Amino acid sequence: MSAWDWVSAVLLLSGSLLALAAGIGMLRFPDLWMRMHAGTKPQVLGLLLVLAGVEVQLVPDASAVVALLFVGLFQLVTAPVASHLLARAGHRSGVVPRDQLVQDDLRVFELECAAGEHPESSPPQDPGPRAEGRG
Amino acid sequence: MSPQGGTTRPGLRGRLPHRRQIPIMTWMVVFWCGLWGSVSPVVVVGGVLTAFALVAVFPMPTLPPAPRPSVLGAVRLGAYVLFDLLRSSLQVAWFAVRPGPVPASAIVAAPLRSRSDAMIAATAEILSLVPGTLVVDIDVPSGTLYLHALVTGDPERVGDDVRASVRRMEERVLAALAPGALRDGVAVADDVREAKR
Repeated sequence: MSAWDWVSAVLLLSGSLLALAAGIGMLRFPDLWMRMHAGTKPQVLGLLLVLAGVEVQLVPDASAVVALLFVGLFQLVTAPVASHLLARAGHRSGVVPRDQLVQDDLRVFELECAAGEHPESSPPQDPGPRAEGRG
Repeated sequence: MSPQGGTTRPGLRGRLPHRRQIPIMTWMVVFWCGLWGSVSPVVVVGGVLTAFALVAVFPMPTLPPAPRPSVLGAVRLGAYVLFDLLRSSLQVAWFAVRPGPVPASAIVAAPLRSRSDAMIAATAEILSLVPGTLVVDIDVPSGTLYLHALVTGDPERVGDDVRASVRRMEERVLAALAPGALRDGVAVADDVREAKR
């Protein structure tokens, strides 16, 4: 094995370990938001490390390297957006239990909107009675 | 973007793309060539034609002239983001595999100083990658982010900690993408919003 093979091996293995930890987090974490933390951070870095490990092996082939760079870039750009949308849907629909939260400023904001305190803001949808019992 | 003032009307006929769309079209061509893995004349011409077609069929709102991004600021921001991504990945991975309970969490309101859509979007996106925070909701008129945060320290101070880190990250984003905004007040970074009115 050459030195580059070792670099590649370390990158691939550490990336895979992070992806594994993200998967374990998905299973162990109690609610949607905690799972989104696992899905955005270790998962993204894990993928970037795996891509870097593959890049090291592909270096002479510029077109493959560029394609993998795009994969990494789009992962960086889209993962936060996807997790934001899921997190927001989870809060607005009220289906994610909130008893783990030590504070919930967004709920305060929703109630203030319902009371007409922020006429400029487009209020989050009132989750309705379904969420009341859980909040 | 209003149909009268806009420079991008749907439809393939007439109207060349506005010059403010040149950056996005350049990016499209670069991306196209990357996907094909080649810069041969056929691919480049095909990319240019595709870019024209996309801009004509799916007109994007043209951004008003933004302050020139600072190269040094962008490099610094990129380094911070990579370092923070590493830190936050290890932190979350550790919470996932360590024995014992998962830390408590909170949803915290964090005000931003800039009202520019572009700056809010960039800051929100980056905050999802850095330690302990996840964007749950954004109130654009008041420029407030609602962030889901892991409580790693004192639960009483989680709000202040998150707000301090949001403030620091926004300063870095502004230093990279709208240099001078901090010196001249955030008005510079508000250009985008003002021009839309």
